[in-house]
Amino acid sequence: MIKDIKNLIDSIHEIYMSKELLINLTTKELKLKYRNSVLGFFWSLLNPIMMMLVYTFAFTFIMPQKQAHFTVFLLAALLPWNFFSAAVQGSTTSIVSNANLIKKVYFPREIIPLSIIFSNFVSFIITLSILFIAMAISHITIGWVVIVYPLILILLLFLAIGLSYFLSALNVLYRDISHFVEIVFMLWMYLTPVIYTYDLVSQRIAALGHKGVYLNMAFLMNPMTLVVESGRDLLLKNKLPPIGYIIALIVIDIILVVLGNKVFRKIEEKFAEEI
Amino acid sequence: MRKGVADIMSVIEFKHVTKYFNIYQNKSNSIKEQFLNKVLNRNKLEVEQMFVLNDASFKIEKGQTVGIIGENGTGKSTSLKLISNILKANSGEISVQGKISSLLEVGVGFQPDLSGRENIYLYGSILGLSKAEIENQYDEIVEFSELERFMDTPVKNYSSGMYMRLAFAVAINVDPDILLFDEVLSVGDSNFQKKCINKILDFKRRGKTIVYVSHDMSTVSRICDKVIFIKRGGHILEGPTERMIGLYMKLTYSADDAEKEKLNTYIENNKSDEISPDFNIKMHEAKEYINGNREGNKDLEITELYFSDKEGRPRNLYGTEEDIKVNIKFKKNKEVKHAVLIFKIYTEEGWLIVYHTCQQDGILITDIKDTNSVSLIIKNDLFLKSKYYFTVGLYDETCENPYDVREKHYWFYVHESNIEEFGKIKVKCDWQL
Repeated sequence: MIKDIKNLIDSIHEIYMSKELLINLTTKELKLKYRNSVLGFFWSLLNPIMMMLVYTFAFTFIMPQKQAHFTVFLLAALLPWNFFSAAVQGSTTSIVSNANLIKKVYFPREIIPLSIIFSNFVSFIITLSILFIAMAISHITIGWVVIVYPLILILLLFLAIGLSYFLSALNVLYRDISHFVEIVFMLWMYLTPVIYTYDLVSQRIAALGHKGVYLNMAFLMNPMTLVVESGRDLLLKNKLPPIGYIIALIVIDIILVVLGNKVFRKIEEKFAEEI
Repeated sequence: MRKGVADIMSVIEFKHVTKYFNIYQNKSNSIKEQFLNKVLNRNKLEVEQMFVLNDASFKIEKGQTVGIIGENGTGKSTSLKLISNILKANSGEISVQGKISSLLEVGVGFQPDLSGRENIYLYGSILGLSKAEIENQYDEIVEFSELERFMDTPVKNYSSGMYMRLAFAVAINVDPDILLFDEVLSVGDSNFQKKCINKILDFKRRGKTIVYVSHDMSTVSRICDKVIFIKRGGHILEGPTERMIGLYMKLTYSADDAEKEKLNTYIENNKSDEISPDFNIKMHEAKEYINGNREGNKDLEITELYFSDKEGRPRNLYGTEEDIKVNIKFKKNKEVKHAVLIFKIYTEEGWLIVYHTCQQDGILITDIKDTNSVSLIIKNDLFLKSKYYFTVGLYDETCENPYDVREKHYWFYVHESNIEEFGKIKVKCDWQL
């Protein structure tokens, strides 16, 4: 384990030496996203705005929800979820799509999936502005605890990075991994309290009695539950999330990144031959 | 970052490096298929190992320009990829000291939707340049590419020639310690190619280490100090440029199988000194005429002539539509200001059908150094199936005093390909009935 951590530090050092390339590839991803479209970069803002309007209509007029300000609650979880889904799925196929670079130039290979994750992260941060506007409209006050929110975002970022190390490398050897990942993400969203609130889950768990403990554990073992609920606590309920959530996320992140890096480095030797 | 200890002077070192590739007859890339194969116990994976490098050891010292040559499918590009850390060796040790820039393909990573300017920055950073360095050299790059007016157009609107020129202009302005080239010089018109070769010679002068993989023997002999020849099967041999080029040509083009066998055993036993140094490019010499039939005061002396295809691969067998490239070397024995190159082509019956001088194309050979190379491409839309003899000569500028004229010393052959006609010359006809 110690050796793996040392290898990770070497990897990080190598990436740092090529940081300009990482920045350039990330910028390229952002530029290319909307290069030829009429509205250009405005689409990144338009997307969450449209979501907000449609969901407000759906969950206020069609299916009214008990949770007050349901749209804001929804967005506060949906925006980070969309980042997570796009970042991990995009980076899974990134090595294979960049076969020509891999086969002809040397640079630390992690830069490829990292550029996908970082470009999605930047888009995500921009869409948060819409969330804050929605909160203002709903007269939800922001407490000082919001200072901790960036920490949650960083933990989410590393969750995505750790997973993408595994998936992007494995996808080179087994091309159907990307299809599995697609399906898993579809299911995963419904197993995370994104379009419903955790309160709803707690009620169901209480109704189950002592069997509910297992259901509760299942939810809490899902790191995205921890991320989403912490986000909602900080932004909308003006309270600090349970410290256990933060610690669990930190531990999960470290394990994912260290082991993910190990797997990545191992398969990396064969990249140029397998693509 | 690279493990292994190299000598102080050697910048790249391969120690007993072996690299093979697995050729799969029926590999599957999906979990589903592999799972089914295991469960149903079918389709045992058929693997063949193809060795491209077999126990190869060599050293490249700082400031050397080393060529790597060999037939198609030998480990030439693989060696470059091993040096760049794109591939890993199966056994043996590789050590590299210094910053590498590998130009294995021109324009790798170019984004069609981005403008020329944006691609310069992107491609430059892929090749390892920092933003500051690119900014510094931006004007030079644009000037070298001759694309000043197109910097803001998206690269997808470029012609393929413009695309290559831009990519090359960036690549050639990288300033690393070690440069690796993989047959990337065949882009652009001859003017541009000249610029590129000059830039490479400039790197040489500045003490950079260069590894150059190519099929174009004339460029290899021009710029390389020594050459590594990789034989099919992975054995390598190292030696002086001319000797290795001769060896390559003999092995590849010789009709004499016994000689090839001898050479093969020499290589496998690594006896490079035993190979006699007269492996020169004599195969295109016409044995009937080579001794004698020569006049001139030898102030300039033609030392070598061979035929090749447009890319420089030596051969003297052509199809009826293929262009013929003539590569000539001559040396200076006395000070000469100008010279005119002439050539004649005879059919096997002895008829003189071509007598051409470079003056007729407006060319005069000036700037004559101790050793010189000239090449010309004869556009072949005339010759039909026959054996042809070739005379080459150098005269002074009045075209009256010969320096060295070699009558019918060389030959080439045009075979039928898709035109079945007797006679020597092709004609185009418009018929009216």
